[in-house]
Amino acid sequence: MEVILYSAEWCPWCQMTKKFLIENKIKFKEVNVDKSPEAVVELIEKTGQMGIPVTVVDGKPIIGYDVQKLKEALKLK
Amino acid sequence: MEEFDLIIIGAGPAGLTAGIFASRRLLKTIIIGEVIGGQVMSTTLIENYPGFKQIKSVDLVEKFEEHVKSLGVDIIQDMVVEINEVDDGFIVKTTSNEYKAKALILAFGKSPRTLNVPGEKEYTGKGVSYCANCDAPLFRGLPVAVVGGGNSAFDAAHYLSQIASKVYLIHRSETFRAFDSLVEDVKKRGVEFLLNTEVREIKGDKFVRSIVVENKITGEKKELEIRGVFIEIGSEVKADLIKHLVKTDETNHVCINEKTETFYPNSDKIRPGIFAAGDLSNVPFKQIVVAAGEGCKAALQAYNYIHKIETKGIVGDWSAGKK
Repeated sequence: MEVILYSAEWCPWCQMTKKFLIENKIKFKEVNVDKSPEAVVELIEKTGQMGIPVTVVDGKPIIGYDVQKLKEALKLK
Repeated sequence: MEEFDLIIIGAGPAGLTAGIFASRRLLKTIIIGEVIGGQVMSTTLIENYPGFKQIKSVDLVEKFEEHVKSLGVDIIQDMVVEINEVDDGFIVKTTSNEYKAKALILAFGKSPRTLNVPGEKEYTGKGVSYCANCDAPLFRGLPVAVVGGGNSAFDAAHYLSQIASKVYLIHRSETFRAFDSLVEDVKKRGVEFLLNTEVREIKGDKFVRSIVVENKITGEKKELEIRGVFIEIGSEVKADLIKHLVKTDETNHVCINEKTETFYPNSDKIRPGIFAAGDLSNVPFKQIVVAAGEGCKAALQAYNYIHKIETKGIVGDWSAGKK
């Protein structure tokens, strides 16, 4: 399962999403949109979103810190 | 179905504090909430919670959560979809489970208010944002609009003025609820104010490209080319879940008395077993410290209810601090 989290340090919901992934022992790649303009372009192109956090699970974007959708996509109980 | 003494619905400061006090009273308790921290998570820095001159919202929430969990209270991250009364308590249904309890504390706070205009839903996450702290830097060098007249709208305009190429502040009246100092600061930053003005439509292709606004006095409509709309028009209680159980006021806040007891709908008769705390109640001053205090009161009152103890006048309750 490939999991990418588009986030930023100053975004509380991003920090919650990151914490959720760590607590559930999910391996993920974090892309910090604040640190590179390229990451913003990548976020928009790959997910069609202009908002963070976005968690991409096997190509499917989950918008915001949505625990139910994250649990479903990550097949967590 | 698992049974509890107390179910707390909501995991913000009120709900989490209620969990701490309920646990110390040895009530079998769970907290059910969609977001641990609740509305605290909509802000970045907290500068008015006693004991912390300045703390990140995430860090304060983490401290609350650790405290609750250290006392053995489970926090279920789930959405409550139905609450019903049965002979000996209440059944709370979530999207994935059912729980039963002798008493409930309603503490699910408020949700961001929406504009309810064409295009808003369609373009959420595609230019429409309810969290400037989160999304502002994605609009670097682009024109944006902020809608609202309170502190959060002015905070957003202030922040965006350092990032965006142009910032409009759209407000439906001529006066602001924001602090005067913040208003003056934003004025100095070249933000263009459109007052007595309402948003009528949000337009775009894949993403937002413009908004249509109308001056309420002159009736003049114009279309502003912008790429982001930050909606900061306050919050509201989503009371549909509880309207059949408790009395709410004209703004959907749950009516409570000084003991956090609720009332039957359209009545002044106390509704046994349901207590309310935090921003969803009609208690004034929506602050973290107030919500926490009300959460404490609700838990102690729930304990008295479950153990059939009458709460009398002004009494010390120091035993709540001892195990």
